Amino acid sequence: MTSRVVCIVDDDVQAANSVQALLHAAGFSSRIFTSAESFLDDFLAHKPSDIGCLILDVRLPGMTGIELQQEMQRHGTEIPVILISGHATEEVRELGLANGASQVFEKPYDGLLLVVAVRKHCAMDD
Amino acid sequence: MAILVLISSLVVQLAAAYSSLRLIKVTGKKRAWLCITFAFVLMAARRATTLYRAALDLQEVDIYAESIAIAISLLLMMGLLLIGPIIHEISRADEVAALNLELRAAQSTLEEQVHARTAKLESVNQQLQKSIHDRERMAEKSRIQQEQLAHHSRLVTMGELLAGIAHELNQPLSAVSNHAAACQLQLNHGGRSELLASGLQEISAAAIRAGTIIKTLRGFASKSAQTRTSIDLSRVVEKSIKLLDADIRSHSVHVDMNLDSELAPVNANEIQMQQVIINLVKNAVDALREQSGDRRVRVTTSMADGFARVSVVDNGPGIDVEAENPNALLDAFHTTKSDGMGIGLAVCRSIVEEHRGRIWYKDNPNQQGAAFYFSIPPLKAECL
Repeated sequence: MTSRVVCIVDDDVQAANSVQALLHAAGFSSRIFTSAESFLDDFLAHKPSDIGCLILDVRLPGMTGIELQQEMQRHGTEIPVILISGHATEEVRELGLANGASQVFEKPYDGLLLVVAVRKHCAMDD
Repeated sequence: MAILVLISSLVVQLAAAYSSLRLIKVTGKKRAWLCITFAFVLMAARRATTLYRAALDLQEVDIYAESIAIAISLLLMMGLLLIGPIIHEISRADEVAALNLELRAAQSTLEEQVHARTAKLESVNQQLQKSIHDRERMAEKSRIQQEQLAHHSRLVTMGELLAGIAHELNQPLSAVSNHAAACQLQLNHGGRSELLASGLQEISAAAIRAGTIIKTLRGFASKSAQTRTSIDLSRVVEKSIKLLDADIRSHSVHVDMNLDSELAPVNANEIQMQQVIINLVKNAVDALREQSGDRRVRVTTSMADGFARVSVVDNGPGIDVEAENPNALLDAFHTTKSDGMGIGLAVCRSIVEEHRGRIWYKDNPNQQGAAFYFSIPPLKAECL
């Protein structure tokens, strides 16, 4: 069973690890980035084609999740984005969706729903 | 012979008159003694007349009668001489009695005066005690008010940090939720028990992390009892930065901690020390809010001049010392923030001063940003 990779961008390592564990249990492989900049650098350097979707924390040190979305759009990438926010106000939600997020989750969320959302984007080759 | 008797009689009578006259002086009874003196003088005059007539042989002198007269006069004079000391004693007794009376009066006046003075002293003493009591009560009241203000200020700070702390709590909570969902998926697919175990372990760790955040928060919000313990300010800095972590991260500020692991312990109220550090660091973070580019706060602990010192230095716009009086920065209601109350630093100062320490502002030695310092005497120095 192979599937596309999910990229997790979260500066909180414990939180990122928990998403990774969840995705692993659901059969997805994932990569963790602790900042928007490190993801962007990696992405621009390698232009990986195996990324199924991006799970992106809104609140990040330096470049925020929303800013990363905008940056990705500027580079014309079409990677689906699932936004995760500690405090998903209407404003954040609208801004996230306007910048192309498929879904916005507010912490803490039901992990199984996140898996459903990821599954939508990462078509399994099985 | 007759002439001799008459002269003796005359002398005796004049002496008696003189004795009688002297008694006036002793007794002060002028009229009584004048009468007696006068009687003696009259008798002396009669003797003188008799003497004169006898001398001219005009009169026969009855020697027998004149001798008896001398004896009578002598006895009278002796009586007068003897009565003098008696009267003197009587009058002295009177004087003593009078003196005694005076003494008693003086004594009672003195006693009254002593009473009055004692009463006055007692009243002054009472006033003094009342004033001491009042002062103690005022000091206690002021201490309680200061504590209440510090507590209130902590609550305000906590309110400001709350959004960040909620975010901070959400991290372990969503980790719990994610790991629980992962375990559920593992179970559905007949997952291996070691994977389940590791998931459960993660859940437990995340729950403990959430609990720690709440515990720190609860400690910070609590009305601090006046308990001071031996604390290491370097450790308090670490704890304080943890509470501020979300705020620091959301403002993309980098906090450098340069902590002296050999810092002498201080006798202090940990929560209040946390409050001072959080206030200073939060001010630094707030000052960097508008800054583009590198945002840095350096928190340093060190021993300086025998005191444990904490410094908080930022690379923000700094404080315009020309426009702002640096000494007024730490006063109540003095603020350089548009939304500030000017309470934070004043509370910091009262806390630090209550710990016999010092808090001050200095231009950032690197010519940029603000630098706040505070120092607390070490435990050992305080014991001396």
